Amino acid sequence: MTLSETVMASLVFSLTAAASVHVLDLVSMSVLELEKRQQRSDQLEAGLVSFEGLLRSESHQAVPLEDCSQAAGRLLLVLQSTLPVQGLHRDLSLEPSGEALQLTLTVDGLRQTRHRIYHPAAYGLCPAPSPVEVARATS
Amino acid sequence: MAGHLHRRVGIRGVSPIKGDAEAGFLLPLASLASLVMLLGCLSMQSMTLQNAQRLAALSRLRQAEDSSMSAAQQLVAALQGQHRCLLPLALELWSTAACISAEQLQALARGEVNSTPYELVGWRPQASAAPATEPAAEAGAELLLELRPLDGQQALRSAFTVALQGNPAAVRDLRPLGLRGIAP
Repeated sequence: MTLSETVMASLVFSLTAAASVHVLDLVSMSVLELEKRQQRSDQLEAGLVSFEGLLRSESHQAVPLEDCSQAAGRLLLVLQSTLPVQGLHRDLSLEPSGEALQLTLTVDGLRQTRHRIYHPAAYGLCPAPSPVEVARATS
Repeated sequence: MAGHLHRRVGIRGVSPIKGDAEAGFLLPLASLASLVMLLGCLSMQSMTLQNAQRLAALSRLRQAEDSSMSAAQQLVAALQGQHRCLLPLALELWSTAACISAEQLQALARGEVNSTPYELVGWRPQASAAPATEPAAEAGAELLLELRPLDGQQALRSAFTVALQGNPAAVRDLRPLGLRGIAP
């Protein structure tokens, strides 16, 4: 065992150890970041499930109104008065047609958003159009 | 005297040949340890990358679920509104129904939601337990949709169950059954 060999060996080992520590540091930061993203994504999913449960519950209690716009407006008022899941930002509004609700859920620190459209007609809240209306719409 | 000393060292077992072998062990040992450390780090990094890919795939699936749900809502609202006559019929029979024209059928079966085109590929009404003539008779239907993303990703199929009630049938509820894999 010569001095030069000892120096070379310790140099190789210390350089690799330093590089490994750096890589491990990066890996641990990535793991933490991924865990946070996963938690926020799950939080959005939980918010969505909770909202749909609420929507379904309100729809089953409500009676069909004269038209879909009225049903959507009433559903919007009822759902806006409920609190979103903690930590989530909920944007609930009417679609331009006025006959459907659009929901956007976001959470701080996550670029992904959840966006869904809900029609009161899909929950039995819109009456069937009269034959005259159908004829007008299809002509 | 010198010959005597040399003989004594030889007798104690530190032969010149063994000393040469020991001289080169430190550098290979350090190299081996370094290699093990580097391989360990690389495998941990690849696991992290795999996790990131899995999370990105999950995010894409959830976006697809959002688009599917919105598309199903849009489609069911159209069925409930202007094409209620189609509710008790299987999709294969829609083209023969008198209450809808070919153009209307094409417009109904294809649409776009959240900038993602979709197509209706299945509507299977299920028989009701109660006689269909009863006003409160409950029935159901399975809705199958295909999302065709524009960004080159594979088309995905998703299924929904639609609760129908009354005679004539009207939509009462819509529930997702989940994604049904990649479209053929």
